[in-house]
Amino acid sequence: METMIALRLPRDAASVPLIRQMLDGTLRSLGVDEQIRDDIELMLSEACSNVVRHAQPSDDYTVSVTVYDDLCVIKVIDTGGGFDAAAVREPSPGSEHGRGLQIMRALADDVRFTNRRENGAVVCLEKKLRFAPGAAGPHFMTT
Amino acid sequence: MDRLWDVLDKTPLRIEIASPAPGTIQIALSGDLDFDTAAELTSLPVDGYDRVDVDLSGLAFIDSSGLASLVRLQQAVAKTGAVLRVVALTPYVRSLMRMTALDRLFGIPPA
Repeated sequence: METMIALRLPRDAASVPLIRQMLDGTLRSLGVDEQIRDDIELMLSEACSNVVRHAQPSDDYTVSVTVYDDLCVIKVIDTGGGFDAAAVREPSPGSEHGRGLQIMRALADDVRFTNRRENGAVVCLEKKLRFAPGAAGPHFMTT
Repeated sequence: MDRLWDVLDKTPLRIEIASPAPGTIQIALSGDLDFDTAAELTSLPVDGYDRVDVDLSGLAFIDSSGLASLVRLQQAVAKTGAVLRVVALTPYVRSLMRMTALDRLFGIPPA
């Protein structure tokens, strides 16, 4: 079984803590382990911050989160021009930028960037879930 | 109409500043240091000190924008000839500093 939420958000900095908090609440109620929730909050924030910062000229963007058994798949979709993840270089210790991608790659089990011609860009992040003992989530998933 | 997130219970960034000894400033951050709040760190008065100690142990959340604001603060402090050190941090912030190699930039206390 799968469960899914999708939200359309304004391309506004305040949308990032909003979606982060909503997703954390949802995963907590499913009983997802705290360490995994922290990692998901951070990788989601990085993907959304990138969209708010760079995805001109989109006015809004969409976040969808699907839980398939013990796999969480997050898609952040905008209508901006997309970007080339391969062209982003590793930051040097003193540089200010470039750590968002580094963090997403370190925390997610899989990260994919897709540029859709005239349809913006999709960042797809996958994370394997762990549940706290006695959690509600696995029961929903197996009925 | 209120925007949806105005009614949500978001954790703001709190900045507490103390000067326990002449030449030393202590900056304690708590709450969320993220894309939405990182700019609040840029206007801190760090001129005229020899030591800037930053306490990150109260942070509930930090992201790459928050880390970038700390790098900018470190650069501003270094420009005045002073030294910025991270004096306290959570295990999560420590693992994030290691992941992004920022533990080499900031003097961080041993685990």
